[in-house]
Amino acid sequence: MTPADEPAEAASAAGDAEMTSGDGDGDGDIQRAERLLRWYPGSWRDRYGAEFTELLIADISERPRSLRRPLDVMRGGVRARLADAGLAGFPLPLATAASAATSAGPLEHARQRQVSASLGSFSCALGAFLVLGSALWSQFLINWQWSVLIRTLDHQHGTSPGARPAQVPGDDAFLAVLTTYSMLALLVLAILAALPVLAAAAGQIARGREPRLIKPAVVLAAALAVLVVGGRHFENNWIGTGGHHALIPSGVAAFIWALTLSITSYWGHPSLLVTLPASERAWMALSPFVLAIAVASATILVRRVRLPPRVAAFEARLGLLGCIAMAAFIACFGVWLTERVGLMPGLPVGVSIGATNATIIALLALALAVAAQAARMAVRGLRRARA
Amino acid sequence: MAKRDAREPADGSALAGFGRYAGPATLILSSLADGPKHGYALTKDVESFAGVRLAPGTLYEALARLESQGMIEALEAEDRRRPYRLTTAGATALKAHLAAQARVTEVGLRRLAVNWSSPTLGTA
Repeated sequence: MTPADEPAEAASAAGDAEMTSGDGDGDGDIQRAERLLRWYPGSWRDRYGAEFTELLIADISERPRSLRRPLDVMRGGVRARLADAGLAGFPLPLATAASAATSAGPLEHARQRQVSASLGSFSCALGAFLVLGSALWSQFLINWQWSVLIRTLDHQHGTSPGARPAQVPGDDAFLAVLTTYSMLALLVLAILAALPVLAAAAGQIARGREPRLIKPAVVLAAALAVLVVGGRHFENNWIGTGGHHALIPSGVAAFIWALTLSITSYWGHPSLLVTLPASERAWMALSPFVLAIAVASATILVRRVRLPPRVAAFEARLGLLGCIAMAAFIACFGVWLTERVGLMPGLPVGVSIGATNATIIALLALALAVAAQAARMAVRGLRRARA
Repeated sequence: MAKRDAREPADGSALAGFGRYAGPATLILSSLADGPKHGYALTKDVESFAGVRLAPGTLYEALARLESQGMIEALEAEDRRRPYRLTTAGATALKAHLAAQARVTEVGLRRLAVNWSSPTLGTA
């Protein structure tokens, strides 16, 4: 809180736009108020939009020039949007008695929505992490397995006299296996988390209680079908394990590699890209959209399905375990990446491994941060609901 | 003795969970203690008795928190303006919070009177 008549000295771009766009007349004030209102999410605008706009109009007409007002509204709007995504403690607007979809009171209903939003954001972050992380993992796996073979052959034929003898499956087998199993643990946790949600959604759709679930469920099923068919087809192009597959589930790696073919630095090198078969290029163009649709529809499904408190608590606990698996993957992969950079036999000249991998690791860290916050908010929301 | 978060009100009342919004919440509840008001009337009233103007985003964030805690409730909208009124829970929380603040004020003033008003110490 600061005194009302505090003059606006500096002006940010947003502040300038807000301060100078008004012409002091009623229509201009309304337009400025409505522009400011757009910072807030739809659910918030539905509940508070009309009265908040009235307050803004009065405030604008009284103090046409103010930097503090747009900054304050932006801050509140961003926090409200984070809360709408279940990532902040800003309270969600209470539903009115008429609009509350359940028999619970408005406060309980708002808390349930907060938990659902948090679980939805968690599933979105988890989906993004799985796609990006498994892409990195499967591609590094190929490189690692073949490099072990090449180094073994080099040693046998004496082409690299200075090379140490490779210990099959490799000097860095420990890191490769750790990374692999942290990714597989995450996949298992994701499946465990998905089963109760799918069961609840199927039950609610079958009983006709939640028609809003049908569309995301159908879209998710269609996207998964496309991914399974495409993945199974293109996994045949997987160049194999280099003969070392005792510790690594090669079938899973090949399937994931095919699903995430599009995540590659080849996009930055069109001359290399055109050497790939046309069907593979088409799949590389199509699959990111299908993956994004699958993650988005799963997120919407989780947000809309009504989970019993015990199931929601189970999901939140799995979420915390998932965060540990994500952190383990990033840590193991980071060390593995550091060790393998510079040991990339057969990498086409000009292909940069550093920038792409660094970007993906940064995105993985962001996904982990979002997932951890969402899981924390879900646990907190459930605790408050119990209290 | 457990340490208290410096941002929390000293009374540990229901307003303790408001953190940095305890200030606006106290001002809003104090204003509504005088009767129901809509957003703009609240802003003007708070400005008149506290000398601070609640910015619109801050005001509505605090209103949403208070409403979600059951300390205030929304009345029927009057021409796009929705008045809010204090609930019994809100009145109880405000009373406890202000009583604690009054104790702090009383102790502070008494200590100032004893230690900081003597001619030897002067007014530091």
